[in-house]
Amino acid sequence: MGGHDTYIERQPVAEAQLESAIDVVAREMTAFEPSGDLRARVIEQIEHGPHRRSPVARWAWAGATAVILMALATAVWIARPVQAPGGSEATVAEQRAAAPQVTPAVRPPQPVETSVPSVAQPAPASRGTRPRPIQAVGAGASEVAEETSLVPALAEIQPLSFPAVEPDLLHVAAVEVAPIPAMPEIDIPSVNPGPNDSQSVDLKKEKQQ
Amino acid sequence: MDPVSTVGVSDPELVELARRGDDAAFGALVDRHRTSVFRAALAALGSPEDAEEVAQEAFVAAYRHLPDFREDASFKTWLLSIAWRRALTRRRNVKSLLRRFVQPPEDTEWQVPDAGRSQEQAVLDRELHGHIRRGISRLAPKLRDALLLASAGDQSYAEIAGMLGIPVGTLKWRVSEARRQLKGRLAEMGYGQLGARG
Repeated sequence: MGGHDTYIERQPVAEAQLESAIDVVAREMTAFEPSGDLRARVIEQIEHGPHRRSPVARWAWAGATAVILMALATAVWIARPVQAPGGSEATVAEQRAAAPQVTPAVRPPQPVETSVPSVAQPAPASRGTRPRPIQAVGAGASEVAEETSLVPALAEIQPLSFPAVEPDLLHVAAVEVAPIPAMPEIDIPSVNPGPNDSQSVDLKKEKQQ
Repeated sequence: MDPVSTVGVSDPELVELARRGDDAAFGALVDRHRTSVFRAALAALGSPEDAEEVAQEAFVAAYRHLPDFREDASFKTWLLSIAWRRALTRRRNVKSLLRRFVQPPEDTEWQVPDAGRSQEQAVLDRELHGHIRRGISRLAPKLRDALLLASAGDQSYAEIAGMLGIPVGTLKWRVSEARRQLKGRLAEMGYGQLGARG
């Protein structure tokens, strides 16, 4: 019944014919027959039980799904990139090495001595990436490397120093208080109510006057 | 159990037999009411496939709840109520909504009654029927349900009212209102002037 239909000139239809047409169409819309095997399917389902899962099985599936989701969420949480409080990731070795030098943000790789067990300096970690495992050379260095790569440490805390706060002394001028001169006596005349004073004159008497 | 003729057996007797485990008796009930149940579901859903599934679910649910049937109403009304509730539940499902969105009911095939009319008249009838069909599809669900159920002719007004859980008077008003709205829309399109004049 779109709007364009309004402009089409149609043959008038008698109301009874319209009613009849409505009946016919409404009947047509439900004039279908169910399939012949409906009874057989119903009886089969009654005898052999429902094909769908039982409520217990559905609960079991729901529980298993929840467990899997929680395991996935835990795995993601564990494997997430570890962010240092300052926003960048750095290992203990990196932070200790970088502590004395303030200005250079990126240090060139240090040569590795093979004779002494030592820990190679890793490349500076960029923001948002996991720290690279430290390449170690020599016996025992791998354990140290593993330990330092796993534990992100805080930077060394420098003691805070503040300049002494010594406010200037407050100089207040001396204040001299002059004596109060003696007050002259005040003569107050007696206050007598007049004839037009409504508060003191009886209204009835006033009206009579 | 041996098959027994159930032609002269009433619904309450078949229900009693089914309660005692006679599946054949319940099968006879299925045969007796399958068309009514199917068409009621079809009136709600508009899809024969969905209606068939709902009818099957309704019969199975009725069998399992036979001990709860207290015979306050007839078995048919009770059965239709189960089917109707399931059909409404399915109508709210996303899948069913999507199906109606993809293939509206008015696009389905329908037959034009051919009673020896001229080809021109047949075309006009077809056009009119198409408008009525679309009009019915766009009625409010309560009005559409009432009109389709009443027009199907499988149930009495009392049975339909019991199935919908409304008074018979309310059902009659809905059918009348559905017709009134339909005729109003058709009149806006140019149909129905003869009745208005006369």
